Amino acid sequence: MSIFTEQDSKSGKLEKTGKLTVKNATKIYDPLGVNVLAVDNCSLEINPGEFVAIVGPSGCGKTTLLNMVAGFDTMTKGEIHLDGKMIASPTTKLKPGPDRVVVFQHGALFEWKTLLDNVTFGPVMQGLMSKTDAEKKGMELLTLMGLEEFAKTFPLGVSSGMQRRVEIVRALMTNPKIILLDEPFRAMDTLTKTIVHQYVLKVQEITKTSIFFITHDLDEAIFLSDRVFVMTTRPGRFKTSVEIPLPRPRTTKIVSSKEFIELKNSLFDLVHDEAVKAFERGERELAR
Amino acid sequence: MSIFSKESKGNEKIRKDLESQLPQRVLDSMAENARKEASQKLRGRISMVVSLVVATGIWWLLAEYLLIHVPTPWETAYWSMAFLSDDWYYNSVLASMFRVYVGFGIGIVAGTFIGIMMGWNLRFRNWSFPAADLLRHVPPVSWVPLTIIVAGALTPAIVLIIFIGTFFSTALNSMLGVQLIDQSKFRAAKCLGASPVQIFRHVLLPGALPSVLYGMVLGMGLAWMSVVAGEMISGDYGIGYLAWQSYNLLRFPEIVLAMLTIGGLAYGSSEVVRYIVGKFLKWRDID
Repeated sequence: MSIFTEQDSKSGKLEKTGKLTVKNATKIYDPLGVNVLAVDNCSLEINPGEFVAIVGPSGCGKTTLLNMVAGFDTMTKGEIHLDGKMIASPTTKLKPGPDRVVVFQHGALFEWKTLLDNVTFGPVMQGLMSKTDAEKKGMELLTLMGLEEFAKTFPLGVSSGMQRRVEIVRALMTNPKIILLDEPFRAMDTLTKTIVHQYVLKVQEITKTSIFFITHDLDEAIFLSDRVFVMTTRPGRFKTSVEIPLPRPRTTKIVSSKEFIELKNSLFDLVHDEAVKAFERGERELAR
Repeated sequence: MSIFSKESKGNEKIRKDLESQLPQRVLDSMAENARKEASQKLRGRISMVVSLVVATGIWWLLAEYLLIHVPTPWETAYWSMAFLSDDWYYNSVLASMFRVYVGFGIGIVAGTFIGIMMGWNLRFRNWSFPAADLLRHVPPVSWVPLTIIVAGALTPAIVLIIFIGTFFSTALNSMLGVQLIDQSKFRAAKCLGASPVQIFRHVLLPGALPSVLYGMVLGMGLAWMSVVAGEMISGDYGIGYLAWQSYNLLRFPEIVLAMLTIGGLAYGSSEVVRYIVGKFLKWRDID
């Protein structure tokens, strides 16, 4: 595949990069003088090229963890390293960057730019590529995602499934070491979701980018990932992690396989317990 | 007429491919839809003409039978011929237009600048917003006495009140425009390695633009209201002054002519602003 050209080999893309290490990440929020422990002592490691999902009930601190990795949120305790370089700790300055690009829950395309201009935004802003080169690479990636016809369309003119695919392309354009997916498929209908999943798998197969994927949907977590972490309800801790040994490339057929169902059953109880706890606490908080 | 009339040119090939694959039945129904759309447009135009004719008719009936001092459409038209051959009318129109455009021009530049700063910088907003919000509620016309004292001459005074009206409407809308941009867009830009200056240029400005431009459209309406009020109160010439002076001179048809002129100019100016606005907001057309 010619998507990754000389530039990429210079920037070290062909070596295995994208090892994310989160050590004892802790986050205490302090709104109105009341300490809220949002993320409690979470540690995980994502190997280069690995697809890791974090599953947990709403409000459990998944997104907070992602925000700390992304550099949007300070840490109260702990350290985060990316390929051995410290990217976050309680004392480092917040600094989001193109080495770890986020794909957002509600989408964050620039509606005033065409899909192609959105996609070329990163490399052009950073001055890494000329506009023409960036557009060439962008068109290749858009084609891979089945979007080449819409390159000159504005985001509001395409469906949400397409928008999210464009966003993934936009993230890939800066050759990130890791992509952080913050429940990007949440608002999609099931059919659109399965299509976007296929594209995500395809792209990951080719680019071998590490992916840190947050979701509350167990099926998509198992379907896409190499490993799934289950997070407890607030304060968010890792309850367990499960390897997903399903063979790749994965197709939608796998969802009905015996292994898939067994994995789902074993994880379901764990996730369900937490969801019930979160729900009950919500009821209590409401009743108070 | 193309059945995908609103598609961009880039999609022409896809459209052709699509059309060639569709069964005749679907093509027929699409053509039918296109015909309906066209006839709807035509009907829209016809109803516009009808509406104007009916309004003129009502005016005529009222003026003829009920409000006998009000000039009828025919009287207005007849006397307008005379007024329209007089330089006074054209000078008045030009004077008012000059005041409006100068005041509006300065107002939108300053208003956009201050408004975007208010949206961008929290400290600046905290210091300036309460005062701006209070002053915004002072009707532009009530600034007239003060502006005359400050400006000394009349034209600068009227330009100043137009400036004030336009300034507040653009400033507050620009501020709102910045505040309404989804925070994740700023975060995304940071993730993609954009510098603060680039974020300002490529995210903040275009993101706030719809609201900024809306403020300008509102400002144009306010500008015409202000100019007429200002000229009526303290004018020496201008279209508002002409209307008032026509009353003093008992030239009633001329009052109506002046009113219609003001309406036409304000409508035309707003349409021009709206048209330019539309040019900048192509990305919002999603048909």
